[in-house]
Amino acid sequence: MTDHISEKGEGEHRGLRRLIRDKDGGGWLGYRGLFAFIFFTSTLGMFVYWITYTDITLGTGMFYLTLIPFMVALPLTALLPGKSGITPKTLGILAVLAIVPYSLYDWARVPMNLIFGIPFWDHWFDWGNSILGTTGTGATATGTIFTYEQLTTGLVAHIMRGWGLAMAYYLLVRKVTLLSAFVFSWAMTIVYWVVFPVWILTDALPPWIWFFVAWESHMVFAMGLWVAPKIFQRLYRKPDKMSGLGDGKDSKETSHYKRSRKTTLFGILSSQGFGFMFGSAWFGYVVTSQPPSLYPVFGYGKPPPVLIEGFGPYHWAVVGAVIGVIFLYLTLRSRKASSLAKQKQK
Amino acid sequence: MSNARTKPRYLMSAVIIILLIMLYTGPYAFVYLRTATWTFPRIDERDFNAFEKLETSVSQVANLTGIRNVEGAQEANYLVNVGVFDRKFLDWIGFPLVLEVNDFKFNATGVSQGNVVFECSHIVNAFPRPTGFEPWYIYQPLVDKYDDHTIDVSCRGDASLIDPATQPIPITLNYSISTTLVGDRNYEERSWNNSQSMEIRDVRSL
Repeated sequence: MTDHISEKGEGEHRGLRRLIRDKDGGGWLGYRGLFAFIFFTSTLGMFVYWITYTDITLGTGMFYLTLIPFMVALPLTALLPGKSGITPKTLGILAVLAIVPYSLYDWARVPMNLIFGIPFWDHWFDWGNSILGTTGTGATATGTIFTYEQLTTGLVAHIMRGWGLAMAYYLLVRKVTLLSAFVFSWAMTIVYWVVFPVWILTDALPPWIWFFVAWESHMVFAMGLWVAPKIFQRLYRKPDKMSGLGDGKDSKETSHYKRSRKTTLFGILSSQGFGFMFGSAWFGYVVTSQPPSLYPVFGYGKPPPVLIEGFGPYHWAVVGAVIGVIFLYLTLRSRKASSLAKQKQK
Repeated sequence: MSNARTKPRYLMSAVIIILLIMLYTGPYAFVYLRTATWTFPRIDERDFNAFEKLETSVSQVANLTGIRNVEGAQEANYLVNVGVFDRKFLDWIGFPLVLEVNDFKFNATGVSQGNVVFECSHIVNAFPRPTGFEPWYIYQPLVDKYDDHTIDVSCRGDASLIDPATQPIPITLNYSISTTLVGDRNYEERSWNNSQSMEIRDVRSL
């Protein structure tokens, strides 16, 4: 496994600068950023629904914040400059790639339902209900939310977000790397961990297994982001077009710099350490900031497998921080060693 | 490229495509299957258990709250406490809910020595319950608060049929309660008809 990053072998700083601002219009402040934002809008519609405590329906949120941006984006694709690295054809390729990560994400949750009873599709009924506009919360004359119609609508909304986020990732990176996929998925995990317990009543006091499932499924999403181009390279007739996720130009530019497997591994482990730190501290805050729940919401309320008396979430956060720092140090050291070896070769 | 070389390549592509289709559809097939075999049956079971365990109660005392002149006759006003208990139940994910009690109708007659002492007729469109949009620290106490909920039903009758000086006055209450109970996926019309002994207490001076 070797990840390709940066470009022209002239250091990451220049690569990062071009990633953000590119005279050809392909940077985050250009078409890449714009289209990534557009594909993020299905999540944006959901945010509005969440943070208004569902006062604004999901249908309304997605009408203004998803449908309208997509209507604008459609003719905008005609203006995409080829130099930017994104063409309508690229978008088509990415659209196919982006199906893999969220499918794997949901696959990762399947055993969690069978083993721990996590009902990961519970909100799909709410979302479907909010989009379809069925009034009433129970089986009243106006209908129950627990129907296949509402499940299907909620499922479609779920897929749109997962697919849209994967599209946003592929658009934001010039080259898919395992590390960037994990960083992106960590951002998704943290947003998930924060939004659900704060704004959604049924998730207000989730047990540890809820946090665990959110983490493991997003990490599988990261693997999906990384593996999807590799799968499709086998199927696509012109593999070189796939390797750069652009017009092929990028792949040449990025092939000079290679991140070692060790650096990638240490980088990912470092992100896991810091993520565990945040997750533990946040879990501690969430469960201690409200009256304890007497109810086994989500799963069977089993305790975590490793319990140490007197060792609370904040202590685990310290452990996470230590792991994060150690692996960050190892990442930086490994990267430096790799650069020195390359200089010697020259 | 020869046929011998292209055949395995197309075969491999076909296998990958089939696997991809299974990859894409698998989790959602699982969700529909689990919904049919686990979610909906679980919801139904919990709904019907909640309907089953719901209880009603009528107080053993009718409080005489006032006597007033109405078109030359003396009308006595009473308050009878009526309640619905054990509304709390867990939904399919283990989250506590309060059973919806809608179109609650209470009709009763208080009978003493063959005379109808008072009559009650009361309708409540919906018993209160949390909306489901409260933060947890507000929601959980509300669930407990509305688990058992009582209302005071106003009843009226001919004051000449009772002697407030005689305390307490034993009577028989014949009542009927009907309501629509609404769960997550099901609803049920429930009714109770009963007769119980009770007494009238004069609380005007309290």
